[in-house]
Amino acid sequence: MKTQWRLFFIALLLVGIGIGMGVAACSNPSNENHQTLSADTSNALAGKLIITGSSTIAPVTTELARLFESRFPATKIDVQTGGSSRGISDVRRSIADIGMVSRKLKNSEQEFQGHLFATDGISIIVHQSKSIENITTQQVRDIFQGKIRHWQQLTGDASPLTVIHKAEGRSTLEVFLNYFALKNPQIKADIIIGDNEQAIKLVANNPNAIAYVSIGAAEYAIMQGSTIKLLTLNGIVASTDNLLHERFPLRRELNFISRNDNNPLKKAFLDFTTSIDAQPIIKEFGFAPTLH
Amino acid sequence: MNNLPTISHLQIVPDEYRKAPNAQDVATLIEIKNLSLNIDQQAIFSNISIPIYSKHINVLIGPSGCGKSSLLNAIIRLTDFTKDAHLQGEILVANKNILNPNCNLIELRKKVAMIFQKPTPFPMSIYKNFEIPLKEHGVKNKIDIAAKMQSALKSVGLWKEVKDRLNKNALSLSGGQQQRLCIARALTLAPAALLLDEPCSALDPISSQIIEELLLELKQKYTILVVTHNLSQAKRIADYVAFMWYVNQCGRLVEHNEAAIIFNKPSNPLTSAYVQGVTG
Amino acid sequence: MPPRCIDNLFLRFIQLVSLVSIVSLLFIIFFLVKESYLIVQEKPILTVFTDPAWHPLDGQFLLLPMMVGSLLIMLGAMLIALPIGLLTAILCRYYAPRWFATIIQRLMEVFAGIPAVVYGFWGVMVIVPAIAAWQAPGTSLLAGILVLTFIVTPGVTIISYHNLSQVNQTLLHSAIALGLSRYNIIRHIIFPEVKHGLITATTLQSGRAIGETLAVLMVCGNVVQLPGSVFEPIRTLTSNIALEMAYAMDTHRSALFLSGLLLLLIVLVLAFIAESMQKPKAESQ
Ligand SMILES: Nc1ncnc2c1ncn2[C@@H]1O[C@H](COP(=O)(O)OP(=O)(O)OP(=O)(O)O)[C@@H](O)[C@H]1O
Ligand SMILES: [Mg+2]
Repeated sequence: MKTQWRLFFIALLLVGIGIGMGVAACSNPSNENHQTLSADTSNALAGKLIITGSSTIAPVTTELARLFESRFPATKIDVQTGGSSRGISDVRRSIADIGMVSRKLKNSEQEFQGHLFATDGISIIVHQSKSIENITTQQVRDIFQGKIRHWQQLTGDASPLTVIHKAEGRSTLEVFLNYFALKNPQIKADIIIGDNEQAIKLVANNPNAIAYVSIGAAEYAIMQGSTIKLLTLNGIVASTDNLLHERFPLRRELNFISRNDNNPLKKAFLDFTTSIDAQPIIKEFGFAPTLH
Repeated sequence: MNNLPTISHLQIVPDEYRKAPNAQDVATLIEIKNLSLNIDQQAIFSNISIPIYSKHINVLIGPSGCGKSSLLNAIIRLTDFTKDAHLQGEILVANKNILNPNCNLIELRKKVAMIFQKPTPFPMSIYKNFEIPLKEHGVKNKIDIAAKMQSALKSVGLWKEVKDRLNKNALSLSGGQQQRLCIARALTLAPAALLLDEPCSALDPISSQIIEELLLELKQKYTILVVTHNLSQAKRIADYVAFMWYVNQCGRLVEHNEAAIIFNKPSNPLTSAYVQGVTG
Repeated sequence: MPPRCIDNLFLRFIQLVSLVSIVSLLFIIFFLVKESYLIVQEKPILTVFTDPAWHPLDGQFLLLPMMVGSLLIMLGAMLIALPIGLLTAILCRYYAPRWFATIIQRLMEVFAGIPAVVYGFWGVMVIVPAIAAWQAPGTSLLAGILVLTFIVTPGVTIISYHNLSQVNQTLLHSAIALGLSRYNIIRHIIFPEVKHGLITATTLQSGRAIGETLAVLMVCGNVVQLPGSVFEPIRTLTSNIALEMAYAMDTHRSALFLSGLLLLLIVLVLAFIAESMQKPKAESQ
């Protein structure tokens, strides 16, 4: 009896620990009561910032905050997710110092100071060997709704299409669906993946696959020698450069918003996010950093 | 044991194979000739030559570690399963050298059965203990299996004790019963010879006595080779005795002869010291 | 310090350690229940079986295909890995020459030590394209089963080999002495002796298989559906958590915790089945 229980517990523990770790890695920081900001204006930077909002921006912000905190050890930056709308309402109610908003600011939000620190663009990618360079909005809609199932209809190749789509809740998914005016239940995919890298790896290994990923991630992969290529969308080249100059349409802004006040710590952090030092981190997350 | 001669005084008999003077006409089933065993370059025993007389009880005695079990294992080629074990010399079973590489081992093991010190019934029903080896050797019919099992169990005097519990696990028998079961299991294959490695050392005196009586009965039909540490047992049952000793960790044959001669006037002083040291 | 005192301390220490493991286990279960409470509150629990699809953002929470997916790849992998592992162990222990057995043993130890994610990469690079060349899209139930098979086979082999080495030598010798063939020795003597060890191996490796996340996520395609064939993509409960947890909120997040809870339940049931298979021996002795 003893050994069986031990066995049983080991099995349980293995799974439990697995789930526990997964959850710990993914769970959001809990809601904390906001403490009033106490920036020390006289001396070097010190104090605490609370940033809430878009879950797309939160990971990169956390990474930026970590570097910032190591530069100014007397500072503490708390990043919490909850969606762009939470970021706006938190700043409006002064619960947060900075809000993360992963879209263009609306007219009704002009009371805030917007800080565009990066752009997230999405490109359609295929394998290098495919004799296709451009894709139209209608083609993309047809492919992802399962109306086009075969390369025959695109390039003349005699092979079935493998459609790669993103998991529910992903930011690229949201932008993609919005731009092509699709609803998630309409999508007919062959493969569903989580992050850009995975999509890139699959396309690089499957000449018949088609996927959409962050332009930053795709450019980085090509630089590393990946066998994918970015398609032009309705004739417009998908590049970070076109993104920065707002020429590529399948894109969205990544903004920090805040009230107009003179909090030096806040200003220092926002400036930091558009400094040279912040760029490698932003690129690492597949976004195009804003140049100031 | 105190005044055993030291090794340097040892005069070990010539190594060549020879029968006991008074047994020149007695048939031998197994002849061990100049047999040596090395395990991983280490000599376990060397140059052993012993005749095993047909339908007699041949007893092998000697101190612990002199290679008695290894010698028995060699006769049915169990040494094949020991890593890096090498046998040299000859073992003739019915005039065929079983160390020959193309010797049929299944046939050999059918002809020469072995019983181990610790009873080794299979952990399953008594019936299955017989069924598995019998089926292996071509007896498929249930009625034949049952008949062979019954006669074997009768010949070891176990039939009355187990006939109502043939479907019970063999491990539920007593140690003595288990050992007799193993002997019976071996007998169903109709072997010519039985090798027994200290068959009574795990048993109480009464069970031992039953086995001894059984062996005395079985020698009418089978050639028997027994290893024992119990010299009084050897005296009671042996027809011929071989005495082994070790020199530099390596087992050697000191003397072999009729039991009466070995126990009463052995030619080697070491034998007489061993036989008396333990009995006296 | 007197030995008795050391003994006592040691006992206390062991008790403490086991207490910690039990408490942390209960804590994990409590945590999972607490986090999945939100979804249970909003919708009847059975919706995970009856909803039309898995679109958590549109309030549809069908988890059934993922439970089926998890079970299918686990069963498939174990069905392949068990015979391969056991036969390899038997081959190495009783048939193969020593040098060959040693090579296989070392290889298995190395394979067992490779992190699962490496098998995942290998699956994406090799297995998925191979299947795709045959039946598109390649990422499929079959790919998941094959990759998992590679992940669990070394463990099964090593535990089986270890069990075989523990078979009573005298029993084995007596079977050989009776002139039994290797096949019958393995079937009648060795297999019954190692059966319970094999159940242990199976339980542990099944737990590993059903809990495996990253490698499976990489090769299974992750489309939420009941697969019509082994060439169709599936999503497992673990993949579902890994794919969506990072961006999930509210009921979506809670539904993912419920996936975890379901996984735990499945493992519990498996462990109980394994336990009941072990029982007969415990009673007969
Ligand atoms: N597998 C093995 N590997 C290495 N050495 C072995 C092996 N089997 C036996 N030996 C050695 O061979 C020698 C003889 O052993 P064996 O078991 O034949 O002695 P024995 O005369 O039967 O002793 P006992 O009376 O105690 O049973 C011992 O020194 C033992 O250590
Ligand atoms: Mg011995």
